[in-house]
Amino acid sequence: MAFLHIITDNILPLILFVVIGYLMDRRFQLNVASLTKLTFYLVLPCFIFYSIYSAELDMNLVNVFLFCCVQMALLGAAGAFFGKLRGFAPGKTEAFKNGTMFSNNGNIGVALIALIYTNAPYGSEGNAPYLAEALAVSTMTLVQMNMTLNTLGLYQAGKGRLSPMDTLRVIFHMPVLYTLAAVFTIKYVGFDMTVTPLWPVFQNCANALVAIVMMALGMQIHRSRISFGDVDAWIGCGLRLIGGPVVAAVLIFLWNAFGTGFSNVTSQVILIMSCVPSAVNSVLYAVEFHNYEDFATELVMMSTFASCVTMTLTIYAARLLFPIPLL
Amino acid sequence: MDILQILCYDILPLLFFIGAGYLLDSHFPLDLNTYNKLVIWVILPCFIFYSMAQYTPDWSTVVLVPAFIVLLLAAWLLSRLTARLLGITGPRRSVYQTVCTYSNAGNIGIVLVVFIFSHVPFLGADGSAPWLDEARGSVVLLLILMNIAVNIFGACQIHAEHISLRNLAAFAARMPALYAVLAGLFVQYTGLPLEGTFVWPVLHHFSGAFIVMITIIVGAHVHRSRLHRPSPVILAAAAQKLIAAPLIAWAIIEAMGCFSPVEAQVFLITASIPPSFTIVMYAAEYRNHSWFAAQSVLVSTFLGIITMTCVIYAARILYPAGL
Repeated sequence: MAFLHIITDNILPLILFVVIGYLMDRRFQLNVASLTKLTFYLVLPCFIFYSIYSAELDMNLVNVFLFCCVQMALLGAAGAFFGKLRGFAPGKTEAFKNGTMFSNNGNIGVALIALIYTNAPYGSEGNAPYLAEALAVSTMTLVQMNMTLNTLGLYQAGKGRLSPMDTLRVIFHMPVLYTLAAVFTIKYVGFDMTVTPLWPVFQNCANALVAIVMMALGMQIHRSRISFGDVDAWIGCGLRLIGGPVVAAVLIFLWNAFGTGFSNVTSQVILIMSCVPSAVNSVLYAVEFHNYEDFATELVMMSTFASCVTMTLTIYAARLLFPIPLL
Repeated sequence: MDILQILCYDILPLLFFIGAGYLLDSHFPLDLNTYNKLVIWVILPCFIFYSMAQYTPDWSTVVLVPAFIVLLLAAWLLSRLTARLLGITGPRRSVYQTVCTYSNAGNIGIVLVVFIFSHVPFLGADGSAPWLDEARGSVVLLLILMNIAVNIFGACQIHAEHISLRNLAAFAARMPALYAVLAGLFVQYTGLPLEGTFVWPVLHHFSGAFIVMITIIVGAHVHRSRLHRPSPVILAAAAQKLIAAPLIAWAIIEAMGCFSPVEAQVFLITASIPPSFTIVMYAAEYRNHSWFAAQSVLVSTFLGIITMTCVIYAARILYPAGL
């Protein structure tokens, strides 16, 4: 059963980091802000640069990029609507939207895709006919996620507490936007970054991201009051884990009926990428702007646990909805 | 141009990291205690364990242990001699001697060695780094020895305390790195297949975080200690640490004659690393000429940029290991 691998190889390590962060914070009085500053001002920009620079973008997949944006907008609208329905404070609505629109594509999604298309029934040792296309599509969704999560997500977290202008002022003091501009310029010009002295810096920071972010999450969990009975958090999970794939499936059918259409492999990958649990960065943003940290933490934690079930179902559904020849 | 290459791919990235730590610390109130605790309790042990699990040491690596002890003794005796010549006495002499003796193997040493052995001329045709595991294994061994030395003997010297077996054992027992070594040895011995388990990616990611965290710590330290015009004594200490120590190391390698080329390079490079910031920490804690300690370490760290480049270059020529 290939799916068990995702739990042991990708989810369990993440939980282990979180547990270590939690225990360290309980044993010593640590300072989460020192880790989030390190992340926002050094590690994350380097990671974004590194991952986008090394991604081989297939420009034929621009419609995948657009698709992801439409899907994200729909989920955001659903989140805003739900927030209004339940009478959330504005900040909580933004935290809710951040937890449902953005997902942990980097840690879980791409690994999931790589695993699915190299194992039975879609591949075997040395024979993975769908892998190249699947990876290209998942890379595109990852780039889309990195771009929106670290700009729009940051903005939404800030808007919970600050005026839009103040939020923008804060974001323009952070390196993320400039990194995005730089990496696309450099990629467009075709300059070889790997021969510059900056490259080892990017590489090492990219390697450091997961450990630092996940430990920060563990420390934050230790500080948060988390209740597993929070209905709003469970609805957020549902919107992320079930609503995400349902919206994706409907959109794919519409896209196929009225638009350019996707191949079945691409459709499967899009569907699977849309069922990944909430993005951990949303917690860091919440911490940075002091915007409903506890709620953001609940959403990420619960959706990560619950995804063990829903991801299995989605992968199965993808096989039925968009059949491709099995090996 | 080998020397330019060393500057470009080893020293400059290191400086970028230290610079990033400097800037971060000057803009935000960073809590170094958080970084230190994470490094000492989680990240360093994971790095050591990961390095040991990947590299099978052969018995020749053990030669580094007596070589290291001889190196420290020789550097210590030399600093005693120069202290007499310069007329440094009392508590100040012990700080002077620690600055001349102990390298910052844990931060700068490891980062440099990892950088050096992960690019040309130490790359295979397929882009793999065949020497990296051995280099990392050797530098981890030296790091552990240096950590023990600076935290026990160094601390006792600065504190002017009696070095007893009990102090030594008590300190070693409190060092998480030691347990990582024991666990690493256990895995080596039993051949536990860790690579397929969920622990492996965790170890891998922690090792990734290691280089970033420790260089940021150095940068923050540099930011917190202001650089002043160096006095002759400070320059003398720097000269001993940065020039005399690698020369002594070279003599030891030649005298013992049983080093593999990679071990010889790592040993030589580790000897040339500037003094450890741990000394500053102890000097501040025990209120023993902490300004002098901070200035010496800082001046040596800056001058080390030049001398380390030369030593790395010399190591390559003296003990060729490339492909």
